[in-house]
Amino acid sequence: MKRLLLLTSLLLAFEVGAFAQMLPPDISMPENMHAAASVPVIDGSLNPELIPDSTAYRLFFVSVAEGANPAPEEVARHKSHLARIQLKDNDGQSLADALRTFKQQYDDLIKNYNGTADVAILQGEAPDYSGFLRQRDALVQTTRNQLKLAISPVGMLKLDALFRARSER
Amino acid sequence: MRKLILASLVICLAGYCWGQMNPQYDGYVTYSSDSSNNFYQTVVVEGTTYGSCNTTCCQGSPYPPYYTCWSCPIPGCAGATHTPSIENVVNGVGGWTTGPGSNPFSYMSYQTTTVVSIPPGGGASPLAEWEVTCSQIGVIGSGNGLTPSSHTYPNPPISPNCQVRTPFDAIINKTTGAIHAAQDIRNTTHDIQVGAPVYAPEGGTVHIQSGYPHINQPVTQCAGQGYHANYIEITDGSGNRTRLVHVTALPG
Repeated sequence: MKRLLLLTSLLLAFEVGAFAQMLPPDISMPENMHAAASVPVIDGSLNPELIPDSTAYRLFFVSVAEGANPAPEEVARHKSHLARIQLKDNDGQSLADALRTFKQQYDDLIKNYNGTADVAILQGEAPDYSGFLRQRDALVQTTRNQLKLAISPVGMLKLDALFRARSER
Repeated sequence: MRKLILASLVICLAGYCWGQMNPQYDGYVTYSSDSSNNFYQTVVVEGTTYGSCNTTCCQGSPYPPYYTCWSCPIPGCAGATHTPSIENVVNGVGGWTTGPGSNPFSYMSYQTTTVVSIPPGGGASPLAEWEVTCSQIGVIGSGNGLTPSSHTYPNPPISPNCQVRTPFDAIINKTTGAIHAAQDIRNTTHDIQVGAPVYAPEGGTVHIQSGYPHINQPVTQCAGQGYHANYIEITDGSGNRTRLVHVTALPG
């Protein structure tokens, strides 16, 4: 009996704690819809080695690629970014072509995913985020593979060097 | 009594079955310059929030089955918008801009570019930050880019003109994580030849360092080899150090 009373007391104490978290209101809802603490954050300025190559290449492709119907200023910016890699003419043109194709396919991929996200949110469902990530990373990898075929080995070394050994001293 | 104990356990365990929304956003800064002395800084923020606008709601009861859970909508979620903002400033030019808002599960990809003309010998002081804001709860993601810093020389170190090639802290060694912690300068026409004279851009204490001789090989093969070339270092009164690297002849 003593054991039962002790167990009951412990459970009641735990139960009071649990109810204190649940009440009020009687119907329990999450206080914060975002779980920021559960998302790992990588600070590239502190731990650049933790950034996957696919992420580094994707962000580079996205930031350097020309949009559709670029303004003259946009063209100058694009050329300036590419000139920084110091590729030869043929390699530079191949990279520009690959980036243009990437940008078009990337924009289409996002547009399609956002269409499904609009429908999902109306239906109270979650869009297929993991499927989108697979397609996104596959597109980056495909672009890298195409670049390896289109650009000379020396040019590819220069491009890789931009990501692998950024200290230029 | 045993029923009460059992009910208590069920309530304790079932009280933590919430759904969650997870913001995942990336920020990126890149920069370049051209032969017209234009300096470009591009800042990108992209990503999305994944999860669902539905979660699990639970209600306790003193009667069997004592505790009931069901799927219910998160208040305000379906009508919420997530909006990207970027601060892209170089030498005081630029500022905060806000991209289009979209539903929380849309994938956003927003970028801005700031272009400034930097005169020969001038420095670049870049600043880059980004945020993603939820209309329901405020900022859900943020980050920053470069450390603002600049140094302007009274005289150009190379002739005819020079420009900032890489701003301070802009380059990071991906292997070691070390920050470049320097502002690189080059000539505007990118055609400096072996034997071209270099000049002290400002007064200070001079240190001459001998290193390995110049080798004709691509920059990508020289970088990160752990040894240095000949250089002359000038330290000004504020502790700023300027190195004229890869000089091919040193005074006796």
